[in-house]
Amino acid sequence: MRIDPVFLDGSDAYQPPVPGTVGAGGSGSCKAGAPGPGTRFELLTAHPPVAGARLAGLAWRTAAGSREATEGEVLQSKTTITGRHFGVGPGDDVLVDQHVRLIDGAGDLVDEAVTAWQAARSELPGPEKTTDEIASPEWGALLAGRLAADPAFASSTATFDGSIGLVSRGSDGTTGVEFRIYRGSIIETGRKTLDGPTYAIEADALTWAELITGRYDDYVRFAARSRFTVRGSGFQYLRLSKTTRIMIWHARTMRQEARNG
Amino acid sequence: MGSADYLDIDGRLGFVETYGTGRPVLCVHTAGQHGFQYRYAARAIAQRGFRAIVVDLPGHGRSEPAVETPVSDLSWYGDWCIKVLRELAVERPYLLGCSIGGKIVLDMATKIPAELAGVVSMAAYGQRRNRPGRSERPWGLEDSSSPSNRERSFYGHAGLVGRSVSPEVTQMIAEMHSREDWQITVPDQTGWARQDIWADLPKITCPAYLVVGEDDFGVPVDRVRATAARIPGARVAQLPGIGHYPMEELPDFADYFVRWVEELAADAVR
Repeated sequence: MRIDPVFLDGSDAYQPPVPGTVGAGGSGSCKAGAPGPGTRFELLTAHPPVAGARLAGLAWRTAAGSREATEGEVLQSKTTITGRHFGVGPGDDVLVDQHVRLIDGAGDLVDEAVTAWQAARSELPGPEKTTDEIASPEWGALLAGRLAADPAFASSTATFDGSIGLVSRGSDGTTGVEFRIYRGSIIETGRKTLDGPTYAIEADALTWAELITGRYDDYVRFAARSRFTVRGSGFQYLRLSKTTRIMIWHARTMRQEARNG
Repeated sequence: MGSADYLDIDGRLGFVETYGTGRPVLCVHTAGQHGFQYRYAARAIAQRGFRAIVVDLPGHGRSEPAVETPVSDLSWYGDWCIKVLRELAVERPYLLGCSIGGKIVLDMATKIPAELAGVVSMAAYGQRRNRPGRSERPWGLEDSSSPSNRERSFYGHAGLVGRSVSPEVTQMIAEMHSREDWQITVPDQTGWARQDIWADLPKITCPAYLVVGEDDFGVPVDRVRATAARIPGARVAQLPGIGHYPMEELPDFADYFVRWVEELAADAVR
C-alpha cells in the first residue's frame, strides 16, 4: 500500500474546478425577508450557477440543526455545482444541479436545498465526462477503462466474484453504475448488473462532487461522518477496502488529468 | 542513548524505555500502538533537558498482556501507569499522552494531581463519546467478522494525519500504525468511547494543557474546550494542519512540548 501525493493532498499540480463546472463553488450574501416559504425560496434561489440561468427545480429539506431565518438577517449563500446534463433541456440548454447552503454569522447552517437550473450552453464551459455526471453509467465506463489497466486493481479484486455499485443521490432521484467483477477483471459495466451489486457505496451528489474535485481525498472523513453509506454486504465492502481507495484514486486522477488538459 | 527495561507489575512484564536524565516526562501512546510513536520525539525531548519515560501499555508492543483481558477500561491503564511511576520512583513528572494516551493521562491527573508537575493531553477529551451501549462492538474481537484489518488501518490512520504533513511522513505513520493487533485495538477504542471522567475533571489541580490538531476530525475542538473549561486554569492549543498524532506529525514536536511545559511552569508559579 502506498500513499500517493494525489491521494494525500493533491499537491502535484492540483487544479480547482473551472467556474461553471462540477465542484465549482460560489458565494454571496443575501438578506432575509419576513419569515415564511416565500423568503425561504428567495434565499435558496438567490444565486444561480451562471448568468441568465432559469430555475428548473428545487428540493429543500429541513436538515438537522437548521432553522428559519429571521427577518433582516444577512446570510451567506454557499453554492456548489454537483452535476451538468447536456442535451436534456430544450434546444441547447444544459441542466445544472446546484447544492446551496445558507450560513449565518456564527458559521452555522440555517438552511439547504438542491436546485436545478436551465442554462444556455454558451454560458458554460463545454462537457467534461469525468465530472458532469459522477456515478452515471457513462462516467463508470471511463473509470472502468482505467481500472482495467491497473494491476493494483486486478490484484485487490483477485479473490472477488461479485459487483460493486456506486450511487449518487441527486435532485431528481439517484444515478448509479455497477461494475461486475470476476477474479480481478471487470467483465461488465452498466446501470444494472444481473444480480445487482454485492455492495453499493452511496452518497449525495454534493459529497461525490467534493470528493472527486476537491484538493484532498476526503473519503475517510466523509465515511466517518456517514456522508458515504454502504448497502449490501458490509463484509465484502470492508474486505475490499483497498479496492475502494483505488477506484476513488482513479476517479480523482482522471478528473485532474482532464482538468490539466 | 536510551535504556530499556521490563518492569514486573501485577505479575506481568511491562516494557519501558528511558531517554535523558532531566525532569521526568511519562509518554503514553495511542490505541493499538506502542512506544514507537515517540521514537523521535522522546530523544528530542531528552536533549532539551528531560527524562522521557516511554511505556508500552500492557498487551501493546513489547509488554505482556494484562492478566484479565481484554482491557477496555482506560482507568485501569491509568492505574498501571501510576504503578510504573512508583516502580521507577519518579518524582513530580509531567504526563504526556495522545488519544487514549491523552485520556489516560487526564485520568491519572484526576487521581494524583498533587504528585504531578503538569499534564499535556493531546487529541483527547473527558466525555463519553456516545450514549451508553453504542460503542460496545463485541463482534470486533472476532477475526472472522472483521476482514482486511491491515488495509483499513492503513487508510484510516493515513486519513487521520493532518494536511500539512508530507506524503512520506504520512506513509510512514500509516505503515507503522497498521501493524497493530486488532484484538488490542478494538478494546482500546471501546475504552476511548466509554471513558467518562467529566465529574472528576475539576480534581485536576496540576497545570494542564489540552492540545488538538485542527485536522483531527475524530476529536471535535468544542469537546476539548469544554473539557478544559472544567479543569482549573487549563490551557488549550490548536495545531493548524496537524491531525491526530502531533508527536509523529510535527518534526519539531519537542520544541512545542518545551513551550507548553514552560507555559505550565509559569502558571504554577502564579
